[in-house]
Amino acid sequence: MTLPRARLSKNDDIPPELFTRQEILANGAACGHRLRTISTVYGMNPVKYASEYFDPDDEQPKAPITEATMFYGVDDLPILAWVVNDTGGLAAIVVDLVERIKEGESPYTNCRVVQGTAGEVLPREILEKMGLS
Amino acid sequence: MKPTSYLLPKPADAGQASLANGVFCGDILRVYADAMGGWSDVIWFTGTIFPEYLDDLGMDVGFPMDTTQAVVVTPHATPHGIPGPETFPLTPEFLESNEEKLDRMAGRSILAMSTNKRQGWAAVVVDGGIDGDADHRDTQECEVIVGPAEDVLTPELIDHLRRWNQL
Repeated sequence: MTLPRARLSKNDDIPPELFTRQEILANGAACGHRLRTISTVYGMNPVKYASEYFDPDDEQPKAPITEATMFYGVDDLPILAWVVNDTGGLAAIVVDLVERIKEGESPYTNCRVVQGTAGEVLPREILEKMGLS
Repeated sequence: MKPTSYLLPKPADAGQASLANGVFCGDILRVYADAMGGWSDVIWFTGTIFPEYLDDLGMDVGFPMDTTQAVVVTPHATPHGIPGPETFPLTPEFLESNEEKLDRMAGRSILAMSTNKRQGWAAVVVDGGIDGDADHRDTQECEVIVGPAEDVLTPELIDHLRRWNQL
């Protein structure tokens, strides 16, 4: 892993924890943008966010353990947002990889967009809330 | 605009909370570009895209410190937080209402941006900063701001973008 090639802050005295946070935000924006691109290209429904469907006391939705998610190494990771078409034949998710970033490494790849069918990439609780199960 | 926060139901740490908000802001940036048309590919200042531009940049990437002249158009937010193509009118009342937000954004880092060369406008994802709330709820950690390039970008960054034929 290499460090970013451009500084993100105007302040040279920026605390390391703030710099890391800015990287995480920027990478999250990249994944959100990519998810939106998939949604536009395939004419899917608007992007959905976990906070719109789950209360703070609900169990956090995580990517299911399927052949597709295991192939990309994203099984059982928190889902931040998703898109799905009306039939469930096409779906894409943004998963949080922070849990798998080793301490001290750059969080460049702290999120990932994975495509598949709804049954492959979305857990049962989301499928039920979307009326796709 | 009411502060919004798109967090995991049970954020394990501040990193997850920030990441979820970054996803939301990246989505807004794309929605705006799709609605208006004529916008460039997104430039990410982490160096993951367009790294060749950033190799010798040697500069800070930030929202202008002096926002007294800034004119900002903010995408209209629906109850679900997804902006439509509408924009707020640039009335004195609107500008006055945004004064506090502009002051809050002054000097913040630009995380990603897209440009509209024909219009001379830029759309930027700005880091909203960290609040004092331990679990980061009800805070706006990032924000998408759209407006004339000279109002939402530093002069130094505008010079670089023109050199790259992005403005």
